[in-house]
Amino acid sequence: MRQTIRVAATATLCTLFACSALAETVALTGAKVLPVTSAPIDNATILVRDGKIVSVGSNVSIPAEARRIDVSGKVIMPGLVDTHSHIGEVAGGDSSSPIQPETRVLDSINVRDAGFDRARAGGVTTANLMSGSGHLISGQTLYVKLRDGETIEDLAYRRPDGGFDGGLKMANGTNSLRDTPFPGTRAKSAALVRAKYIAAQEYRDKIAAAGDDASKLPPRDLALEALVEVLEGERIVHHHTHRHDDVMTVLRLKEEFGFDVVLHHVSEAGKVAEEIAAADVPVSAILVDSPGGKLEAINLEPENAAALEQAGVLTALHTDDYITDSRLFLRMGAMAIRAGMSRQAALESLTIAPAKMLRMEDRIGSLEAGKDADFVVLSGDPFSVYTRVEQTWVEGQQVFSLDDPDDRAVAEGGWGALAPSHTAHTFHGYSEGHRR
Amino acid sequence: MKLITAAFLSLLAAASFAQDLAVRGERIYVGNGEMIENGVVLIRDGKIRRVGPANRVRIPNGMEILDASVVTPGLVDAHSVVGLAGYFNEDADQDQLETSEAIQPELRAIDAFNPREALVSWLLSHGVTTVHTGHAPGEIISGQTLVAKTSGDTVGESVVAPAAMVAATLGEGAVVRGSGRKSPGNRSKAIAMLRAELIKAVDYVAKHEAAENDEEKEAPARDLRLEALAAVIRKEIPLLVTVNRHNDILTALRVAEEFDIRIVLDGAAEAYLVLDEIRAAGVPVIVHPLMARAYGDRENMSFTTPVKLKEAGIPFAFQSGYES
Repeated sequence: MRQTIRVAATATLCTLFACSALAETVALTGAKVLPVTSAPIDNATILVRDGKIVSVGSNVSIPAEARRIDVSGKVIMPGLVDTHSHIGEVAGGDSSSPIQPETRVLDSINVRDAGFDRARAGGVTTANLMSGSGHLISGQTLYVKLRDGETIEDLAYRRPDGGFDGGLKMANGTNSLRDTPFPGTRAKSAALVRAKYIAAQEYRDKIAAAGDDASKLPPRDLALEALVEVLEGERIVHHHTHRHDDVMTVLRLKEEFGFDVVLHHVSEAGKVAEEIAAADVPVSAILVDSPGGKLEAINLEPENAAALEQAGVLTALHTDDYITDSRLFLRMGAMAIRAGMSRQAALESLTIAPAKMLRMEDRIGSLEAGKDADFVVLSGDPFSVYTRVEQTWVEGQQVFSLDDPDDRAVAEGGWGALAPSHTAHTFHGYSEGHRR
Repeated sequence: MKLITAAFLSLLAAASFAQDLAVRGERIYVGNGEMIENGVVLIRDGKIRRVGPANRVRIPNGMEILDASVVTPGLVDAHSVVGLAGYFNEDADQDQLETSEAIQPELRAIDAFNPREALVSWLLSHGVTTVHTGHAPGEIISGQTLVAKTSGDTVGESVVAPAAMVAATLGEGAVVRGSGRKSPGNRSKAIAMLRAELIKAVDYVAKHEAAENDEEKEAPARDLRLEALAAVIRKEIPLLVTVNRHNDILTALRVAEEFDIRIVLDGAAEAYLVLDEIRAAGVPVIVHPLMARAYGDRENMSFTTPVKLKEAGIPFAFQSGYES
């Protein structure tokens, strides 16, 4: 079935523009390197070729043909991985139904939206672009690499079969409680979701029963096809959930239907950290400067990330951009540390932990030989408020530099700096009013 | 207006803050640019009596001592809506904006401020001891603001200045589009409405002055709306103008000059485009929160605006802008 879904998805990563850049060999020398999965290395060299890290260390031999870049005094860490972002004017389901797994955010993304530049300026190199939380199932998400591309095909991660890689956005709690045909209560929300997954199980069984006889196949159903991928473990559920009882509802659904899930936001994670740990489910949390804003999130505590770490839960942080600005993503790690998270866990929560949640830990999330050359050059310690992102590199190519006047304008703001993002703030109903 | 204020202040006097305390700090930032290593702040009856190096300030026997690594003055949040806006963000705890009319300067912040609101405590927990809060941006004139301490159980205990400023908004934030109301439908209409109201206030002040100087002349009947604006016309309090686009900032300066009133610019996202004009007008700026979202009239906001204001010699302050 996967082959029938993925039609024109065989384009390779190596577009014309990308190939020329990938061929270069680059050596960045003199920085303090934080590989994340191993101890920091002072005065280290990172050698990059064909978009991959060749070696990292203090005794790296640099080939004669390599372009040398002296970054003495700087700090280099892996590119940040954001499991939850709404840049690119993303959209999924409309107001016709609370369950629309057939919609794909990739069909809505404006790659020229200033949000992409803002994210690069913040050091983000991989992001999970998602539709909103106003639906029980709002659509298929898309994993993107923030290459200097011009089409969504340039940016999208691919599965081994060439298809677009992404998860499924789900939500419970209050955002999806709306006027009919949306549910009015939490119990109705869960009932609607269960009924749809049962339909997907039946659809899957019919396809299996048909075997090689095409005449016995059920008619194609785009919504159920996506849910079958979830049931088969091929598509991860990214689940908006805040209140402790809503978290338990997600864990029950996971148990009943056997899907892989990442819990997102999870304002009250600290109240059910042991249960989350027992279910072996990861959490991508958000920390904000100001509490309140809506009822289901009023108990959001900065101590959340530390509580999850202590319970042994795989924990990431995310921007939820436009809720928080991607340019300030590193600062969220500092907030987690201030509220009790360990420095190592905070580093991981921005890099290797989210990479694991996107099942990309073999490719991104740390600075190791063989991995993608995605990294950030910082002016100082990643968790100092004075530190600036000076350069962002994706697959061995510089995609942001504070020395470039246009890039600097994006990083700092100013006249016309974010001009393309006129509509970004209208994402899932966030308006200029007093609600968020 | 003055009478009301005086009556309110007498309520304040009932509250007492009698605490004696010595704060020993490894570093004390005095607030005037000076930093004292190993210093002492001596407090009696809630007031600072002495600040100096430990070897120069003797701590009286028996006085309670607080040891700290770094001591700074309590932070002053130059603009917020906390206490009127509440933590739950539900209709029942949102008193910061009344949208029935475009111009309502008679709305007093003291009649809505809740000193026990969780958001006020949140500011306190982050070191903010004094906050300028009140009616929010979002109408041409939304009401009055106050200055309060973030401690205190009643508005009387908390409030420092019950009527600090009158809150105005220019630009997109004051324009109604697609709502039930017709006006102001655009920027020019908003300014015409604002000027018309200020002209009424000028006339109101003139009639009062005429009555004071001439026993045969009768003072006009009390008008709460014009009383509030009269305080602005008399320069007793400034007009707080929330405004972000550069052309709207210049509009604010034009209105201030026309009516010879004091204004404070709030937000001022594009101030960096009109620095010379702001400096020439002698107007201070309460710059938008740097973590604000860059959209609408704030689309061109910049992290570098404060440094540009500083370099231009324009007085400015930071604000939390919390939930505004």
